[in-house]
Amino acid sequence: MNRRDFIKFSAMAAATAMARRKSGAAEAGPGEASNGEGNSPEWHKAPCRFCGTGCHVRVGVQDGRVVAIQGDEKADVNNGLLCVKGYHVGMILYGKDRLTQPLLREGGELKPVSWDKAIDVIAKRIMEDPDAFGFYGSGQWTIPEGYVAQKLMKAGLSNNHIEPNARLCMASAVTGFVSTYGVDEPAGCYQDLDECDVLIMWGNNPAEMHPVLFSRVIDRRSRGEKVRLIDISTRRTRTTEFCQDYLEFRPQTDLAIANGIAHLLIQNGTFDREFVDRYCHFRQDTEPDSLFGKPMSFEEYRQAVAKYTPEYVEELSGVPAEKIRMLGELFGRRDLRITSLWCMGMNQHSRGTAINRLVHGIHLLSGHFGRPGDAPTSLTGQPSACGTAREVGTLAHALPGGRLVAKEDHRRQCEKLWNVPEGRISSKPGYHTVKLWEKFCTPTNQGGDIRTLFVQVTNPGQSLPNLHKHFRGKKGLEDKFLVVSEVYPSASTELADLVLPASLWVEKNGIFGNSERRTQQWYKMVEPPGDARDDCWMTIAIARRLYELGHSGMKDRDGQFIFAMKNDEGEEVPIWQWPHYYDINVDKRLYEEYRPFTWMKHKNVAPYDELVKARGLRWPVVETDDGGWRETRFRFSGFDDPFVEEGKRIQFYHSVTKDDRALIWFNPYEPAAEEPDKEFRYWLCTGRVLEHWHTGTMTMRVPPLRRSMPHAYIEMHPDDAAEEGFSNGEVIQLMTRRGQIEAPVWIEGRGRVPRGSLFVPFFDEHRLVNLVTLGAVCPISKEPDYKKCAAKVGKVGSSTPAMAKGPEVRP
Amino acid sequence: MKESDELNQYRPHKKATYVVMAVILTAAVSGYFMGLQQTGSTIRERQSDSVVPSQGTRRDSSKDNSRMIKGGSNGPPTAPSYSEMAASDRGPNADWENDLRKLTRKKPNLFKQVEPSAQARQAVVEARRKLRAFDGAPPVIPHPINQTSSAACLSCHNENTEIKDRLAQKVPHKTYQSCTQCHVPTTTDAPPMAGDTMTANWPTNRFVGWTNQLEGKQAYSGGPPTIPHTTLMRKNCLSCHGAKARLRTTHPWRQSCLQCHAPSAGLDQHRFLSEPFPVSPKTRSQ
Repeated sequence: MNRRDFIKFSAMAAATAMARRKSGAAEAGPGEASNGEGNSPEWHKAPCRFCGTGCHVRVGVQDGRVVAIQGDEKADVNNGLLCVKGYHVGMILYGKDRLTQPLLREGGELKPVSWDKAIDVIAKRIMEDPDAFGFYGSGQWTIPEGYVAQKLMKAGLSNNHIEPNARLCMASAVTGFVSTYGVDEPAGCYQDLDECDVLIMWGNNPAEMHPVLFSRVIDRRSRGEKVRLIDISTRRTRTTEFCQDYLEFRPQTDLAIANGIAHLLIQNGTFDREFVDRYCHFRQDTEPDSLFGKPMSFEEYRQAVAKYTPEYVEELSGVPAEKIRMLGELFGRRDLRITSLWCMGMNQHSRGTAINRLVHGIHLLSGHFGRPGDAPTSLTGQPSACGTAREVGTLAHALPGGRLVAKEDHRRQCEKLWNVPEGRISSKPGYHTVKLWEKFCTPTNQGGDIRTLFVQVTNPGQSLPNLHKHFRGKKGLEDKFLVVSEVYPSASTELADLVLPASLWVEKNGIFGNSERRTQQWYKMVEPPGDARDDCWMTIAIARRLYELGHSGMKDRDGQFIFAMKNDEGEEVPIWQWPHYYDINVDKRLYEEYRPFTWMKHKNVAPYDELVKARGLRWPVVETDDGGWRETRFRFSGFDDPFVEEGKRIQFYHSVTKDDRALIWFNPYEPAAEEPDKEFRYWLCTGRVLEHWHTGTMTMRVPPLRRSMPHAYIEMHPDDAAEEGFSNGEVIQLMTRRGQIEAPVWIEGRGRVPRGSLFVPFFDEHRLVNLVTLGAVCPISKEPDYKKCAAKVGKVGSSTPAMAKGPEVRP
Repeated sequence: MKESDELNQYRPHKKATYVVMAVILTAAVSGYFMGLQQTGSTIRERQSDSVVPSQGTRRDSSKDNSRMIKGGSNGPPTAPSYSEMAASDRGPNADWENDLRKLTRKKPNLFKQVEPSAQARQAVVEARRKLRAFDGAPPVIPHPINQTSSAACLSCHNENTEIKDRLAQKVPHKTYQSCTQCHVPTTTDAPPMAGDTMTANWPTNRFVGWTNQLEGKQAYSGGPPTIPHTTLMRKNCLSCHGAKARLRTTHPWRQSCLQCHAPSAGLDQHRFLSEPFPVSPKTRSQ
């Protein structure tokens, strides 16, 4: 080693040590130090950056850079296994085009500016018109990031226009849980996957989207266990190959299938009479639809589902009547443990709330609930859709801890916890995601009353439905101002007026919450590149600038800055100044401030210091007599949930009806918002692939992943392709009433669609399928349906796209 | 009377039938000989670049004789004619048979002295690295795969299987069911897009993967080297170090590797004192 190398090496080592000290890791004892064995890296723990499974990875750090990843053998979620994305997660930090300086658009071009200038520009835009400001975040926000955004908007600006992209993926699951149990999030946990005898996947492809969980089930077979897998889907996928049964249904008719099962349970007399009598009520929708509907009697319910005979369900769905009977019989057996899994198939559904309710309903009706292996389980696609979007409640209508802006007592509680004057929080819900973007893309003089929008940790320019209407409409609107905090140039930065370079994953401290209520913490391990900074810091810096500009909302009841923080010596630390941001552990302080919010709905999250020691803990986490902390695997079940009263088997203690009972809903089958017709004769479904995570901003920069799946494709049935005259790989045009895209046909490829159906993944920013998707939303959850609209195909240049204005988005 | 009438009725047709049959017969016979003559001349024409190896040249692998179908320099390929087929040996070509012999999983000689040169070893290690983003990353798959099923993987990878100059390595870890969860092809199976400059122009990545030191440590000359890599997902030593493997050990007959070669508790996540397992909530709650 020559002198120069030595100096370089020492500097790097010092930088790493600094990063670790500043992250607060020093406070809690070091991670595993380099073990002096050759050139082994230093290993730290972190949850994976990608999906909602919440695998823990071991991050190998050397010379201030992430150099290796291992599956964490100590993690209960993944037991040392990862998927191909997880193994390569370290590479997302090092794409060559990382954004490293703030960029402001001047004269149509993005030009570098200082951070001071950037923060000042945003603060002044907000000061100009605080009500026309919107904050659009994500289920990839860490809990502290979401929490500061939530507090800035609701407690500071008295503005409820804050939404997460989770509205696009999880909203229907939330309304499903809330309208059934009175409180959000799954009762079971991943242990259900180890113990179920039957696993039913509803429009779900976990082999590609939640591979580690899927392996957790199918690897049981290697150990000689028997588990029956049933795939209820609209196309064959990698998951189908592992299933004993494949039930292919016509899109949207999952509603009929669920009702068909309910009908059979009652007709055969195999429903769990005791469970229903003791723990359930029946519900139906009001006109217009509402979250809690109106009561109905068992007799009314029986009559409502009686129409859904196996034959009628077959007629609607195309699934043979005997297969429906098979499902009815399985649910009728109490000796089997049945787990249902779903993700976007049921959530991105113009009747998403309804299908969520119905699947919960058949589990409750049949008593397949509350025992390990008996669970209706919704999976999440983002690492903290549960932890941040749902629990911190960064939604236009919500407040932290399951509270609602519309409820006065909830607002008062929050004002008290935040120490802001009574009445600070506005009672009027803000715009939901689709509406928010619609308003942003509408000229101000035509009612577009959102003028400044701040986007963090998400890529709406690619993920919103019907992009022409909900994103690209911004182009040319002079008085609209889009701020995007990003790590790489994306479809969103393309239209941004101000781009802020953000720290990514282990370049900052963070806390995520996964699909099974598990809260997971990690420390900063490496420095962000160039001038990139934490999203959490950005929000605090904007708040501080507003405070300096004299915005009264930035002061609490005592006249203090709402994000004022003190160090252990009791001195205030100017955390809004970047060099001081890591003087204290801001994450820990924000999280501890947030914790009391979680108590009302018994979602007690664990103390920060406990999270540091663990590989995540599942709430409710309660203190035990010996001073330890105990997590909960099965909510509402007497044998495990500490909040269930002594002696009760099941207690739905946040019941809508306040009598500890859950609701079994009836919702009828209704056709999709747009169905194929003579001209647009194909169903178009969009979705994901194993290699890429969501819009591909990160994974498309990881060579092994991009090489394996370099671009989007159009999945088509060979007979349809023959009829249209397409050969495999031919680039064709796909058109809907909203626009057109070009992509190659892939016949007999990764998945197999039935005749009359098309599938296109949405990860490819050069072939944006969301230019053509519909944007119709579930009337209750306001979540868009990305899985169903009508399309046609043609040779490239064969016809001009029908660019007529699409049908109006449902309210 | 009636019968003869009926027969008379057919008489003119009978005549016509004879004529037609005669024509067909003449055409068939002359066609047969003409055809023979023609294909004979074609064979003679092609003799210089025989499509199908003749008996004598069959095992001559120096010549490219593996193609059964051959076209002109520009024209479409022409199939061999029937007469050619009769004359040809339809057995496997030279290369194929060569490989087939190898495929018959003959028991390798465990006691053969194999001492690859340092360069050869280095070449293997380099080739190995090319398939991994860092030491410990799941290797990518250097061949097309069945996109919808993992079932085919084990037909080659459940043993070290040699195919021509390549080795389909035995899975070194316990068999998971969904191979493609961790291993993806290096090249896509998705149809390529002509002129797809956008895909090619994706920015590259500056990630520098950890490359482990390759030599285990020896306490003294002749001592057993320690295992320089993690044994996570590499529990089966012989899949890389077995008799057929490219990084062959000098003593593949020995079965219990860990008896002499020590793994790293740090790399294998077994340093329980400095990094204990989190308190198990399962035991807590029961």
